[in-house]
Amino acid sequence: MDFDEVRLPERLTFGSRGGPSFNNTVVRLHGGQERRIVRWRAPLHKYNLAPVLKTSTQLDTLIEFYIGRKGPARGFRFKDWMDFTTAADSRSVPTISDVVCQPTDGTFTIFQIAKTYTFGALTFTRKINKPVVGTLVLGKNNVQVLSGFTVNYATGRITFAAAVAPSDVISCGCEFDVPVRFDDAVDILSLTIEAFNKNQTPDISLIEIRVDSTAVLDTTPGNPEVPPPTPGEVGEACERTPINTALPAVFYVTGLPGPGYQFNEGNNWFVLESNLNDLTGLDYTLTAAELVAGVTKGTGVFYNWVDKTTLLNIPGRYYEVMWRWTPRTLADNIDCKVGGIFHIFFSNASIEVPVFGGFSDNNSPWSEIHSSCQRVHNTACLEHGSGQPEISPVVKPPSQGLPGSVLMSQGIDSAKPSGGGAGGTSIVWGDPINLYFSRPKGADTRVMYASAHMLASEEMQQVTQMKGPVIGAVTPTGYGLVNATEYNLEWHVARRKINSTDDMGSVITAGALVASEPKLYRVHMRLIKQLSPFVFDCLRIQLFIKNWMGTGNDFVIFDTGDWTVLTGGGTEIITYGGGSPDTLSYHYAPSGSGNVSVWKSDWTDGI
Amino acid sequence: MDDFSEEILPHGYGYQTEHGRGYSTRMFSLDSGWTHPKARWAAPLNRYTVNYQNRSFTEMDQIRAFYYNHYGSAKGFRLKDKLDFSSAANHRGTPTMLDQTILLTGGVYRLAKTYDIAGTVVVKPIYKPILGTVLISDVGVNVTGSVTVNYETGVLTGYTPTGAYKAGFLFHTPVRFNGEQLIVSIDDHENASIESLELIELRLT
Repeated sequence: MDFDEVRLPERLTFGSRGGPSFNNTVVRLHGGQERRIVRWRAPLHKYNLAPVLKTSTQLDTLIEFYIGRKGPARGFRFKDWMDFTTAADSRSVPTISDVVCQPTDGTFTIFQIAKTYTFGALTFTRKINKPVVGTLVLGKNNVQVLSGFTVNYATGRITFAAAVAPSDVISCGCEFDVPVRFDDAVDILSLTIEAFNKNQTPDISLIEIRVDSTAVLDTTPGNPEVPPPTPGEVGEACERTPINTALPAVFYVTGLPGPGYQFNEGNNWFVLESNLNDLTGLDYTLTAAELVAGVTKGTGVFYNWVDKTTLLNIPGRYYEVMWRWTPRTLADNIDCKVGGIFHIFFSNASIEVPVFGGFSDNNSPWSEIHSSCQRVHNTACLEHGSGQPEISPVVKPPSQGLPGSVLMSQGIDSAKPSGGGAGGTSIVWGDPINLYFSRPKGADTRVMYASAHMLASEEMQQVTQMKGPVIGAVTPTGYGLVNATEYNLEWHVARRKINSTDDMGSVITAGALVASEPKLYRVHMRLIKQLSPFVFDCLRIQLFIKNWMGTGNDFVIFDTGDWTVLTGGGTEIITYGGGSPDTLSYHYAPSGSGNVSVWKSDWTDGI
Repeated sequence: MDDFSEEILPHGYGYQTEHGRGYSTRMFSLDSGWTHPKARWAAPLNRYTVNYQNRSFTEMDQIRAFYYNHYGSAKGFRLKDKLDFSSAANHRGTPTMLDQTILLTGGVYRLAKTYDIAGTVVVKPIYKPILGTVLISDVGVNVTGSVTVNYETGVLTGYTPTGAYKAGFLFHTPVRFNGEQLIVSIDDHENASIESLELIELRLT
């Protein structure tokens, strides 16, 4: 069957339903006993896009894609969101040891990728025919192999230049697609637009097709049967730049009933997919909305969007870039140093768009962006909790504090913290707070006194989807990615001792901090019930900066005890990213006691 | 390929499960207008429609692996029927060694369960007792230790009873998937659902 190596745009696939389908013949005897004949050893998967299709834009995309495939005539790639990597959990980042590849013949030259599904004592093997280009990592005897082989991404076969020894264990990991075609029953012409952006969506069934592993994809340039590689993704991303024009010029901040930020239930994140491929030039310009000065870059986190657990910087992987849009900025550039697909989320947290009545309304021109990731929402990560617009006036570092404590400043008023208990500070009830910290260098027995309670409410449940564990010594390079862990926590009760056995404490005390292995943490907190003032006894580093556009001298390090600028002495500055101009993050880890906060000098608002 | 695995369907299905007891009955219509129903089965076979609502991806992974490994409907497996998994009179209680009379068929002793529904007595052989739960008595004396239980067939060997031979046990129902496809719906970034999964009880011989 003719096959186009293009993937159905993911916006049309996330949320689809489906799964494996077998073909067995059951012969039931008169007594009720059965004989069952297994006709297929390998299942064919079936999917249905009906739950996904919601907007006319999606419909347009689907129709174009359908026509491009000549209806059921040509196969294409489909991403099964439940199962698209070889990792044990089917969704994590592939590793070289995920699956063992079996030689296809006795020469030990050609190996077929296959995935194993185990349950109890049972094992089922499924051939992987459509690995995603660029995702395959290969290991021989559990050591990564980088050359000496080729991968046929159309068939899932790995060919070695020289035969490997029969005793060698060849393993690999990759992302993969399912080769499918449109079901014969799909009647694209019956798709109707019932109302504006509300479509009647009949079943759009997709059926897996078997792939001949020996088939060779004709990739001759200019061959009309072979579309250019994944043009749809890029093109669509570009098409989906209504940000340029459709976004209202004025935003308002909601949830301002006095002190304390109020979560807006309508908060949503929007996703924009884009291939960022230009490794040298500028990739993308987003306009008509604005990045929060300073904080924006500071909170721009590259997330592994797939499993939401690791912050990695691997070519071809997904990352999530979190921006916050505010009324002020008119444009920002996205420049990638590593190619890959990026999902850009737009949050309307606390932003109301009166023209459209909010993004959660499907009538918004952003709705198709919305709907493609509608469940990733409520992650309102406002750093400012005092009920002011998040574009804040100048904020100075807190001007006071007691030695031995970390002051957590939040809100717009730099004078915070106000009040506070001995050696600490109180936090305004209801405030969301971002605290950035790292563990001091070396062994540290000090603990933080506070309470961290995770996952208490719906919105925080969404937030904690973005939590990530410590990921070890990945040296960040490129644009602002730091080796850091972000934990989003919700605080309930003060004065619970956090030690290494707590969720949060385990983060704090996870491993010794060394210059080559920074451990920075960002904790997003919202105090929802304050029983007593928080007192921080030893937590020290406050800020976690990601500023890929930064230069080496952008930051000033303060002692949060007296807010004097620290230069030299007992300080230690760890620079990530290999120096300017790509230097992005700074971390102050005093060798002795003391508390510091790191600030970017030209920031106009703080954390 | 074995047509039955001893694995248990994982992650307790949802509560909206539909149970049904199915009989196969053939009606003979005579020319004179009389109909003569002929019951073909002495014991019914259960059907289930189970669902998994809003489960984590991890659980779904296991169910999917389970489905793969049973080749859809090809291979049977164990199901804990939430309404009927014990030899006790209420079908769910703690078994005692006096619960059920052991069936002697063709010279073979095997576990069985008697259902007395409105006077209609049905004896179902128990093929899949749960390991370690079988208690056996002979005239009220616990002889569990003397009997060898085949937990894959429900057959008892190694002991000749002297009188009332009874047993108590927990058991699984042997079932297979019915229908052609496993349909998983993604609810959000962490959860997925299976709206409907048909299971059909197997008659083992």
